[in-house]
Amino acid sequence: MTRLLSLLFLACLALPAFAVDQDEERWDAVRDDLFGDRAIEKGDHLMALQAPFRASDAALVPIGVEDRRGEGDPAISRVWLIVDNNPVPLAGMFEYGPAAGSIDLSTRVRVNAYSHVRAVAETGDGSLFMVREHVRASGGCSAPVSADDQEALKDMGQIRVRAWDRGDKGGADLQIGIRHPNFSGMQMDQVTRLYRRAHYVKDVEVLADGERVVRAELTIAMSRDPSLRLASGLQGEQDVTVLANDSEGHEFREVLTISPRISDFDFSAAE
Amino acid sequence: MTNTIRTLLLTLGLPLSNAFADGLALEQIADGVYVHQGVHEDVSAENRGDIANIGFIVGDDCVAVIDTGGSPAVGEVLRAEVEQRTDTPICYVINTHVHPDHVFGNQAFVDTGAEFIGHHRLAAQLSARGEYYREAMARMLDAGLDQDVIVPPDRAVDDKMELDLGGRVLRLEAMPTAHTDTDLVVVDQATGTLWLGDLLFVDRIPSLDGSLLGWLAVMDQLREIDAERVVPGHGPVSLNWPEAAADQQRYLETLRDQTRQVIDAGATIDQALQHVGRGERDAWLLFEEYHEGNVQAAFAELEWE
Repeated sequence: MTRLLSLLFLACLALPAFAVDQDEERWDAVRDDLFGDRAIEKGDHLMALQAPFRASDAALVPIGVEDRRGEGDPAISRVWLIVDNNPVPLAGMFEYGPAAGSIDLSTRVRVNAYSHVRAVAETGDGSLFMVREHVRASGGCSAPVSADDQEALKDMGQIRVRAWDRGDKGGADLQIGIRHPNFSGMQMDQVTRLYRRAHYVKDVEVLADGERVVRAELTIAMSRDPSLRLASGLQGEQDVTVLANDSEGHEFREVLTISPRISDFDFSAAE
Repeated sequence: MTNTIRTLLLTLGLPLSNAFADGLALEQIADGVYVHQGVHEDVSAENRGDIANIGFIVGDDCVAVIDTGGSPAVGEVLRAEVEQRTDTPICYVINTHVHPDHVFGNQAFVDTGAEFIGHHRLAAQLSARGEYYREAMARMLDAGLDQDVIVPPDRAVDDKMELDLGGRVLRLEAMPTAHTDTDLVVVDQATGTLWLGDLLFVDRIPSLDGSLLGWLAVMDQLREIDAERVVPGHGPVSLNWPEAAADQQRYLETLRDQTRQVIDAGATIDQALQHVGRGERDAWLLFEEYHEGNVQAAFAELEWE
């Protein structure tokens, strides 16, 4: 009896350490898969990762990369967003083009289990830098999108673009939304016990006046109706082109001339 | 050793099975209308999912159970309460919407032969969400739940339906997408009781899982109903109608107006979370647990306007 209790006690004590080891093992495997044996340095001086400590909706977790670079810091060509404990850890890879104003980026992802979320940036010379946060959320990838396909696929491919002047930072924030159910392939029907096949937005390219802002490769980890907020380096009125395709070969496209608006809302003000 | 383990398990198990030793507190809010108020908490092993208002209406020939609670255990105690009060058979189990705190007690009523009734989208939603809910509820209840915990409706309410319980008629109406896309309203015409399920939250913060604009539109429609009393999905079991909806109305309108304002000003969801509806903080129980989710849902809906 005493032995049984002490075994239980030991099992409880051992858990946290075990969890930490598991986290590290997971990251080692993910890193090996995505970056092989390339060295990855701390990147806090170059960027910050914005992610909630605890997500209120695991299927819609806002995450962002904030550009922290100053004078003399290197150019960044690509950023990977990674959710270690997702079945598909890579959420998206973003390749910046000549029309990118900064690496600022906001999007919404699914988080399937308590996990580290990481941004890895690649500089012009091929060096890798990383920042990470921990997010508490679970079930985001298997969370149902909709009860019926018809409803979910309604308006699929509709693209919305808005733009705001970035003020002192220069350029314009482009807020891009793409209507799409982004079925993850992990949503199970309770009656048939079948998983609805994955169907998601894979590639997105955003151009300003014909020059690339960002090209993104996305996965099932992106939330329904994928949302990207990117920084265009162009001032004032610009032609914005959004090209996207999904895993079933559908192509979506939107071209419009847009004048960035100036926002007078003070987001820094405390309530 | 075997005996010791059994004793240990029994000792550990006893507090659980005693949770409803005194049954379920039910109030008779009108002739033959019984309602139990759920606690204002998240689902846990301690409350066994007893967080929603559930109850039943007794006619001359039939009993209709309306919502069954958040676990088979709650459903069983509700069934025992019905059987203790009347010999009249349970003919119907009505589910007001898809959320597990209202339907996970269904299993306890399967062998009564009762007909399960719900919104025309309930079957599809239970099918799509059932497995996800089962896993989440098992985790929160810290209990095993098998697949039979999901009991789909036998009969769908496409638009309106009447159920004759003998001496009283219940009028059921399927609503367009509001709190969820499976909301069903029940009116007991004999007593003028309006049973709203989670279309109405009182004291506990509303949770948005359908459409904010849809919910406001449905409330405009419901406010026109002349009722003696209303039963909310969460909160005191009998209140004046439509006065009881005033706080929820203010909350939903604030959520709509302030979310629109920040979207129009170029906010990200993060910024919206910091600025929308924070003034409602002291008006609701469980505000911090659900408000952010509501803002996110409102944002994702309204950014496409």
